[in-house]
Amino acid sequence: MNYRTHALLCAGAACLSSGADNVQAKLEEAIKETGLSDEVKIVRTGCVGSCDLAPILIIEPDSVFYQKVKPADAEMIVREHLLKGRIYEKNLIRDPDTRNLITTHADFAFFRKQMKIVLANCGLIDPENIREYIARDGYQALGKVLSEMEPEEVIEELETSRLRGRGGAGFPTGRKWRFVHQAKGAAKYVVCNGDEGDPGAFMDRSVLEGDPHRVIEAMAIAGYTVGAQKGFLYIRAEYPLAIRRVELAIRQARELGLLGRNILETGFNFDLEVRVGAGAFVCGEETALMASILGRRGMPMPRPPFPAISGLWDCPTLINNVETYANIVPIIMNGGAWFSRIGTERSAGTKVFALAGKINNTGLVEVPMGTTLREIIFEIGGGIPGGKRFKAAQTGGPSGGCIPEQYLDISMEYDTLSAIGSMMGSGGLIVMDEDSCMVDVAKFFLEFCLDESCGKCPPCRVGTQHIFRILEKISCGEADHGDLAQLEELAAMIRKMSLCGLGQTAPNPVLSTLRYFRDEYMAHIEEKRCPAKVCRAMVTYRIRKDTCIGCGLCAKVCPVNVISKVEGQKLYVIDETPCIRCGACMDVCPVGAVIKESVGTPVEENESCLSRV
Amino acid sequence: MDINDLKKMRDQAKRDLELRSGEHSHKITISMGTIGIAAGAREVMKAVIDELAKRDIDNVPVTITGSLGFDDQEVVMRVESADGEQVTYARLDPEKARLIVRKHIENGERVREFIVGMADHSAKKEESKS
Amino acid sequence: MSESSVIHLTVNGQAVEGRRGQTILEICRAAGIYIPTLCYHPRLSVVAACRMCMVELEGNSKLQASCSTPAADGMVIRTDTEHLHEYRRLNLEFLFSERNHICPFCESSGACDLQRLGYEHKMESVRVEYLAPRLPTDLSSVCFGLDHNRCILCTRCIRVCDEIEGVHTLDLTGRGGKAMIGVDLHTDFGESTCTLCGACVQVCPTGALYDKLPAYRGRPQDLESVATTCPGCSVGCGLIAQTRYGQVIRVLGDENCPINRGHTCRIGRYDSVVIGRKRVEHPQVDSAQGWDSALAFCKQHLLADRQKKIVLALNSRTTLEACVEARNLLDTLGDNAIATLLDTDLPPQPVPAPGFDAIQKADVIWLVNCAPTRYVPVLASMLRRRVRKRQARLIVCTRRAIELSRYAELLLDLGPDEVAALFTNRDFLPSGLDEHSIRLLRECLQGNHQHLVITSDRPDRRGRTKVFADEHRKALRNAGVDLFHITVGTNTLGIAALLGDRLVDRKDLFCRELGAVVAVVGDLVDERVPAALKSLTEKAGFVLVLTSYEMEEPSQAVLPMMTWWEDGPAHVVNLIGNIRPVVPVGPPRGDARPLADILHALAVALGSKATRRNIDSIREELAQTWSKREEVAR
Repeated sequence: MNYRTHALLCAGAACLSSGADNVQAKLEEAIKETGLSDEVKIVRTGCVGSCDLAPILIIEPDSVFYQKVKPADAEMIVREHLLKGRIYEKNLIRDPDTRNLITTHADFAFFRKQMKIVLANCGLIDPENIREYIARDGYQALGKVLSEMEPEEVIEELETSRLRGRGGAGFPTGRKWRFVHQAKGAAKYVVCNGDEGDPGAFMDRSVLEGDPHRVIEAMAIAGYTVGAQKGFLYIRAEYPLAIRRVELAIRQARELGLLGRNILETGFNFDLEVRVGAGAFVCGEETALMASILGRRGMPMPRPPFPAISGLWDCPTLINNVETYANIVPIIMNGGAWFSRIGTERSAGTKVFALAGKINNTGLVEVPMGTTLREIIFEIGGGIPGGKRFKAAQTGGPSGGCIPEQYLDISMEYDTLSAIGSMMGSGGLIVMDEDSCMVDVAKFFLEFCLDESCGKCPPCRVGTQHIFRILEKISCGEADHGDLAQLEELAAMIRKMSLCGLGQTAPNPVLSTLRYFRDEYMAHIEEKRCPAKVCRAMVTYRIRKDTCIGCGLCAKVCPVNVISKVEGQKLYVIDETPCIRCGACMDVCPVGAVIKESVGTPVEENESCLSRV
Repeated sequence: MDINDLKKMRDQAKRDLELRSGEHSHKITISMGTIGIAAGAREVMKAVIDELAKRDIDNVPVTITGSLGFDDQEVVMRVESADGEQVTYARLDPEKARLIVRKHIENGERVREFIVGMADHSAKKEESKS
Repeated sequence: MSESSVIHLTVNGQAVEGRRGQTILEICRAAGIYIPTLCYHPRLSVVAACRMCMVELEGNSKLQASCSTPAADGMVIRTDTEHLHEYRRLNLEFLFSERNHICPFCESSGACDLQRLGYEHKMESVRVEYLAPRLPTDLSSVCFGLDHNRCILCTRCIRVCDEIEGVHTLDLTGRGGKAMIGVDLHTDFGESTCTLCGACVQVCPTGALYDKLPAYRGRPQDLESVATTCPGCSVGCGLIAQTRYGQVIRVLGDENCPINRGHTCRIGRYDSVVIGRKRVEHPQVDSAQGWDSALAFCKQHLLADRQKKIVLALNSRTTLEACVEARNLLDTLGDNAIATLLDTDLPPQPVPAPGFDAIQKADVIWLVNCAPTRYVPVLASMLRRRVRKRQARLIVCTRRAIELSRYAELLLDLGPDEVAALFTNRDFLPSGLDEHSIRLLRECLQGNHQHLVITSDRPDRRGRTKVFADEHRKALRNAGVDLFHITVGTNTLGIAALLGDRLVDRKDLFCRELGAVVAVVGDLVDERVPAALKSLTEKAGFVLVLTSYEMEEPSQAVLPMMTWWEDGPAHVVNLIGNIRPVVPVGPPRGDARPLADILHALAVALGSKATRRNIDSIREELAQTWSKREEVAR
């Protein structure tokens, strides 16, 4: 079949949940109706990266990028663009600065500054078709390693590349592979950590869903290098699409003799198995992950011994993150020296970040290490919506810290981030603006750690509960300086005494926000005021008399019925005391008469004293 | 399958993906407005795709567009080469289009009889209609 | 100890020596340097959960858990800094704040590690809020209670249940602050797979798990502890009996005994302490007062009918010393005097089994016609441990399922002859097996596996089971297969060795017309004993009962006998031939006397001049008897 056009429909998880399947159905219908079935091929690809523009459709070779495509739009695109060659402008991206329409995603700022190494195939190939991966030089690296390289040479290449583990710790990958290679054991194992538990992180998911063979090939290379014949891909249960695609990819690779016995007829045996998690963030910690694979309760074990010496079934085990593995194939194909020239002196290569929060272009971005936070947020990310002011960016999820405004020009790499009290983490990057309360942010991440604590050691199991209580007190305006002092005391102990990374880093968001936003904490404690007006106990909602038009929409929508009409006037008032501060009235008011204020703000003269009961 | 087989598989599979990557020796655009379709532009397109496949040429995308401006001389086809040269052919039917594929795309010879316009994007000059 | 395996550390400025492979905690403990712990236990795996044992390591900014960190040569360690003390105290405060640790009404107060550490670290108050959760108490087990309010989640109970008893009834459920010790899949203790071995109670550092019987009956300082042997079965575990005012309050496993290393079972820990039964304190013989007249009366009636048999019905707990006296009494009574066992059958194989290391060496263990969990629970736990750690495979060949069947790789219905045939005849295959079983069986039999066959040759209820005949035993021995007989009954092996041919199976005597029966009931309270007694004595002329507790049916003559706890110093021999000491734990009740003394006095009254034998001569006799028997078997 000689197709002249490929319609690449993004089938990453974000696009799927925005209805990509319905768009596809409509596309197929329209293509059939217009008689284009022999000319246009629909290809489902992995995540393109610009997730807030979902569903995404890219027409090649025209290189036209369509965003937010609904089924009706899909029909029009077929009839106008595919049949008549007229680009359908309704679904093009509009440049936020110039207001011009952008046809090609290469022209879109979000993509222009990215350097896709890990995500090179995502959005370009159908992850459910191994031939497309092979077409893009898939499994050539494995072939090269098996026929031309000794394990020692592979390790040297990795060491030259200066690749560091992308799971968060940043441990030099080449050194880890060397440890496992040198270790003695009856058998050895290779494990891929696809647990990705950080809230808001979806880098690994996109790689597993969009380019699973990249990881499979890398694990086979790892097996050859360290001397393992069996590997496990541990994927969290909350990623059913990734699980399905990886299992399919493994089957397809086996069918072609790229996994299993006598791979590429070189005598090398290696096979992979998918193991599914069961809803525990703690299983992202490597010893808990191994316990989970062994069928035990996912609880961390003390190290030493380290997995490289004694892991699964007491055998040497290599554990690396998905993104780390995704870098192996390019390094083998292009050389370690090539990789080490990208990035910075201490951190080589690129990093995939998951941009989320108060940012215009949410989605996945891959940039060279050393890119500044400013570039990521404002040039690639499109800046803060509504023109609001940047406040902080949280990296490293519940183990990380915040980067405040004064560090916007920080080089995004491992050591600079840990120097300011944050960490690279797995790549989650959550942007916050002036309407975010840092106490609330700290509380959010701490509550997560509290819920996910495995329960083994008292500092984490009990300690996180206590510092959470203090944060709750602070956000309710019931705390004093003594509470803050105790918070810092307990946090220091929990860091030093916890068994695993979850407990050791659980206090980080608190300590980091305290370090850079201490004044905000002080406002909560001393003035009983939340400057960002987020903490519910310390805000109150009022209706401005001079703005209210008496439409009564607010009263209709109030879930606790505390808004009532003032007798004889076109004016509504909120009864402060039972008000639950949900903000529904503010959302629904057509004229912006409902305002949020800190408790205790004096009422001005031009507002009726009746507006506050 | 051994490594050589893998390489062969890659080369064959690459063709399917050629459309999506950026490097083309030539790019063909066929005018597919209402007039073009009436004049048989779809058949011309099918013939072009078929001839390309016959000749094992797999890195030349074929796209369509609205009217290219030569409405009275449909079917119109434009050939762009990698160096920026743009040649517009008109009054085509499937046979003539196949000829253009054999001569211009495969051998690099322009077919003078059917040219109605030429542009060189590097020199920004345009010859008049012949 | 080779030179290279010695390592040198500096701990708190003091030079300390240890061995490569030891942890920092092990070395410090051996050197007498104190490091507080809660979750650590020398018999169990290391989890480093409680974080009490953290120490400072020079050159490392992170604190290290000394229980899990291997010591390295040249380490410089501090265990007692202000910093560590402060963190340990805060850790304790976390524990105290987490659940409801209220010492005043806890039965472990005074014997609680958490409480002791609190005092040690001068924890006078808890600086954080008490979380005061509402947690349940599970009192459904007959023997012990589980109070979650007092639990610190050290997981010692889970580990001992999994790693020592091997049943893995307990595990952690829930996560984080909601984590709880769970029994099976959220079952009550009383309805669970728990074997009531009580190991969890023994290792629990707080009052979360506590024995019901001794609860509130004495603090450690009120109790006296004596090490003795368990009367429960033929394994002969070492126990520690704790008494108050001469009464046994609590039984623990003796950590120092190499047989069981602190482990015991329901029979030893709970069933062996009898409560609620009235003691017989004085001879109750007709109108006789005192021992002398009682003995005279008995002598008269024992010899009344010389035509019929005189039966001395011992029980399996009869000590070696008492056995020797029994033999002497039989000799004195004459040829028509025979002995039997009241509570168990005779052992089919009257030589000791190969030692417990036969179990440790075996790769494939066959269980043929035996029920270890019922009769020798601690041995069953040895089997479970090995099988669950995949160190040995289990093949169970019994007619009906036994508790250990669930750990078996293969379940076959084979008799001893077929099992022996498997090892001697390569082509033999039992009928009715599916492909999978055949494959497994072949796998087990081929290759260089060390096989062990364990049996007790117990007939099933209808007496249908075959036993291992001499030819089978020979065949197995020639094939290099160890055969391990489980003797049922505490000292049955010893009794059989000393009484030899004079020992007759009790079933052969039931409902027969007998001249006289001397029934040694002792302290057995099993309900089957009175039934056996009745069958034996129905048609007997004269019945003399030696018992510790009052019987339901009155007898002509009753003499008071010491319980196991009062008896001694004496000895029994266990199923592998170890001589085990019976040590008096408390003073005797009333006029009760040891069985050996009673039998000796009877013999003397009948005219015997024999002297008492000591254990060394008995030991020699046993050794000779067994070696003769083994030669015969070969």
